[in-house]
Amino acid sequence: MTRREGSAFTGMRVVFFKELADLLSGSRMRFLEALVVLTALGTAYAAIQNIKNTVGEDPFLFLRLFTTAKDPLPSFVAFLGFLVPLLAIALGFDAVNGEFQRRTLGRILSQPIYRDVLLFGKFLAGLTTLAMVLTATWLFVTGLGILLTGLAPSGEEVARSLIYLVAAVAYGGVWLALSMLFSTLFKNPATSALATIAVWLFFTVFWGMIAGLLAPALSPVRYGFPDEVLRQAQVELALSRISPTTLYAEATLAILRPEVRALGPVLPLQLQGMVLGTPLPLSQSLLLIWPQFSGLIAASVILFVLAYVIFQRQEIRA
Amino acid sequence: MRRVLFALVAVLSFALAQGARSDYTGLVLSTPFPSTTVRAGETVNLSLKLKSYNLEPQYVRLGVEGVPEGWTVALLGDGRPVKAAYLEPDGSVDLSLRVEIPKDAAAKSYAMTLVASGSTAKATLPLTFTLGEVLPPKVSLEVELPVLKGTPTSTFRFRATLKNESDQDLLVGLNADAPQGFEVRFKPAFSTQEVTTLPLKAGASKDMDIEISPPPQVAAGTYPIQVLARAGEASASLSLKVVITGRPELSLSTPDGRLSGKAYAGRFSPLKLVIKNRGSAPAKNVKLSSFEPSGWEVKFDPKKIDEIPAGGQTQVTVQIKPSQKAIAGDYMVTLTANPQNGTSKSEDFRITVLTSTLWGIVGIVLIAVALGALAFAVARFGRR
Repeated sequence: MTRREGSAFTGMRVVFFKELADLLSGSRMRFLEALVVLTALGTAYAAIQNIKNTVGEDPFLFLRLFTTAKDPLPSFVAFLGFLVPLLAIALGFDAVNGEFQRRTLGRILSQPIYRDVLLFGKFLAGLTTLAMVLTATWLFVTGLGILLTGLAPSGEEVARSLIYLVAAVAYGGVWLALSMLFSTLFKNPATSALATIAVWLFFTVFWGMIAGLLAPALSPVRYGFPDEVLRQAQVELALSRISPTTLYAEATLAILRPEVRALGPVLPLQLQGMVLGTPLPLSQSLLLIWPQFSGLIAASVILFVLAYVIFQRQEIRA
Repeated sequence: MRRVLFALVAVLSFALAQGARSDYTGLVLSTPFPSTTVRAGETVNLSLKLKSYNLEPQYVRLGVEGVPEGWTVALLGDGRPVKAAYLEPDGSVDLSLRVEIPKDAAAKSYAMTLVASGSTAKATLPLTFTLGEVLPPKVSLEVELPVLKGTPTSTFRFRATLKNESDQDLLVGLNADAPQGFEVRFKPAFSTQEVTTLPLKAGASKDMDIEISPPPQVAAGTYPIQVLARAGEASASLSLKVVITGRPELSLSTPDGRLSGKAYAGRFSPLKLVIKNRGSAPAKNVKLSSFEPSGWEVKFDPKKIDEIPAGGQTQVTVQIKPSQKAIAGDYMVTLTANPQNGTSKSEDFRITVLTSTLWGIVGIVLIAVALGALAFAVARFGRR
């Protein structure tokens, strides 16, 4: 193994645009786009119907577009909560092992580019595709909202929904990095896809229950003191925050509902004198979700580093 | 025995009374007041009664004799002019006599005679009308307590008695001469209705309330108020006095009028407070206090104000420190200014608590560590 000469990012632009073109023109993308657009249309329309019927005066009426659910449809953010991982997994599950399968990896790497650049380019192209789809959806919902409610969103509402968009992309980034990690780990694309979906299901469906079971074991309530109960609630919350799904849900909640003050247990002492129902300033909401937000970004970077290290150490001569 | 005697006496006296009454035979024409005092131009109605005693039924002619010149006299029965009446045995009729006295009648006594003549009996009734000097209309106005004391916001209520001391009905107009801004209302006693005139019958009196509301910003002092009751040429006046004691009235606000502020959790944040005295007396020894959520600290600088003159204002700096563990958002903090010589004034301030950006930095450090790991991996595992 010899040391590389020069920058590790030479030729990344080429890989990035090639990958982007491949992803965007693939038939897989058509399906996903159709799914996302249908989702956006359905949920936004249902939300608007609901808003028209119920909400009288609300300073953040436009944000309700994203968070209002109407039976049987969940809200837009809840839908994206499981569509974004699906999208990210679909974009990344065969990133590396697909090239192995098609026996194209050797051919690509015979070009004058570093191996680093291939993975960087693939990840960035996937993330960009995800961001493009989500931005289009966001614009679609916003436009639909303006059209059907006749209201223009305020500056703060636009800022909040844009921050939500960035958080959704970061959430997608975690699953994209995970699917790329599995695609370098497993030789078979089907295996990597299944593994990623299994992890996603685990965190989305089971982790909450497991956290609920683990918390009493780690921090039992022996005598029923309030501080014991509080500690157990905090442990359970900390455990559940290992799941990116929880982080995404909390970030979404706090940024799209300005009246949310805290994302954990609140003591009655802290509630004293509080004027409930008033919105937080944007900076404070942002500060509130900042740990969740940085957790999502850090998680995707770490997962990517793992994928990178494994990929760099792999024998690729077929 | 005694009882029987009593009963006997009672029966006897009853029989005697019956006998005395049935003794009289003839016609009777009567009126309660055959001699009255009247005014020129007045129309007088006299009620008359014609009764027969032990007479057969008969037709009775009615007439008035000796009517003074210029006077108009009419005998009325059931409201209509009548010339005769028909009386049954022991029957009676009610009549009335309307006398219209000319305006230019001289002041002296006038006499006339009413005559009722039936077929077997005759009755006369002499009447006298005296035109005396007419009493001029006169009203009097008296008050129990002419001086009242109170604060600028109180309503001063004087109980006064208005009396018509003449022999004619009067419509009394009420007026007040009060200093600028003072509001004077007249109300009949035990009524909420405001009046400007009161009708008073001859010789009658009426209680009424004179309510005076001073303007709220009035300075301490004594204010005289003249009340005038006037009916034609007659008038009566009344001097009232309102003694207003000064009272401080504080208001709390900020220089720009907003009752809100911002504060960082766990840090003292200043809030400028303006205490105004809009009352009529200086506020002395104004103590400042606060009611805040537990775990918070509120400091005033200065803690106590010696005096705020009437109409003056003072600025105070309030240092508010939310609890270290306070959750971001809006909280209510009540600030109170309590003068020694007046009522305290509280105001709710909405404090928006901002949390420190420390956790934001931690998050950035976390991302930086992750990116550092990436850089390390690129450097360590980068290869051809």
